[in-house]
Amino acid sequence: MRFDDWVDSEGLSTEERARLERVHELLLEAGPPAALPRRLERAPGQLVPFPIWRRRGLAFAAAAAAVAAAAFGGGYLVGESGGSGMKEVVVLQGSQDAFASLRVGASDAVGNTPMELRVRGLPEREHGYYELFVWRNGKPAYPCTGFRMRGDQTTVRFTVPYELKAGTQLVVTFVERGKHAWPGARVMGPQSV
Amino acid sequence: MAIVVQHPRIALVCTDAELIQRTGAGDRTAFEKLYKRYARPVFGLALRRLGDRGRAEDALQETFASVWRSASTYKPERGPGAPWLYGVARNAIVDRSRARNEPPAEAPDEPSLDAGPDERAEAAWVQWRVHRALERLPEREREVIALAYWSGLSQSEVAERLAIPLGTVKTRTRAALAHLAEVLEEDFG
Repeated sequence: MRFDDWVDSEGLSTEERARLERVHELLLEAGPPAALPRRLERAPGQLVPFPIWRRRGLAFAAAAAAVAAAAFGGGYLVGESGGSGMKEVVVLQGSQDAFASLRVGASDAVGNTPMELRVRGLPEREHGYYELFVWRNGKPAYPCTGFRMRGDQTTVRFTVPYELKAGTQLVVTFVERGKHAWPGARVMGPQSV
Repeated sequence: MAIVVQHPRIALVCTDAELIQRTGAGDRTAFEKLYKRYARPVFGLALRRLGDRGRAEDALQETFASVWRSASTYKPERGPGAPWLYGVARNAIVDRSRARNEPPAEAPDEPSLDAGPDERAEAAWVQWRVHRALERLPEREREVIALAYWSGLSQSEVAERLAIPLGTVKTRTRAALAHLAEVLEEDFG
């Protein structure tokens, strides 16, 4: 592709021509931009930095310093449906390294709601598991799913027999065998924690 | 060297540094503007490095989660915003590679199959700069650039597609290149 074939260079000073030719070369070198998936054309859901919750006196506190918690609605629920029909609901943050997101699909005819939770940065622990809850009035209302971390990242897909409504909070707890009774220790929560 | 900004409409746009600082203060609108400017370059970089659309999408989301949570640490006196964002994106992409215990699988570029890491890094940086600058162009100029450089259409086909005279294709391309030059100089010096 020749510069002069595509650019009206009449009247350009030598300096300006060199400047435009440089941009022309950069465009050729860079190639076309990647096509962004439609569902990612808008910014993801509001990113809510929650403070790290530390449970004093417990040995797991430091290791569990990063966990995800999510609140639906009330300004937290943003995102749009993608090809999967799921909504990008929350971006979750614990420490600098912990991160999670939750997608929620449309409920089916009998009321099962598909969800996908992606978690990264939580410690992989042998003697226990993480549990995701719907949390209401300071207490677990419904369990959503339990999971263990494998490596740095884990994705969990599950359904729940109810719909999540505005104002509903999600909390992740850690249940260490022989140490914590179910629902386990809430390792991180919303601002009030 | 002082940079002369010839087109006030570009000068009026917030700089990346300003948007990052506002994002750091919790300004959601600034964050969305940053996303609009950088989503495509980040996605392109991730796609190039990871070679997989799904993983690139994850890297894109994680990049902007990182931007949100670390924007308050950005120091404008240490440099412009674009390189800072590039660093955040690169870290998120590397993290995404490590999550699978795989090395970054950068897709080779046709012209530089034998390029070493330095050349690949340079190519990625060029791509980042150019694609990010494109996001700052008015739609009609971005469109003519895309058609002229990457569609494979001839000039007359581009003219027909845009319903403009052939000569206008060339003058519009020239204007677009001039704007791109300004944005590149403004943001990267």
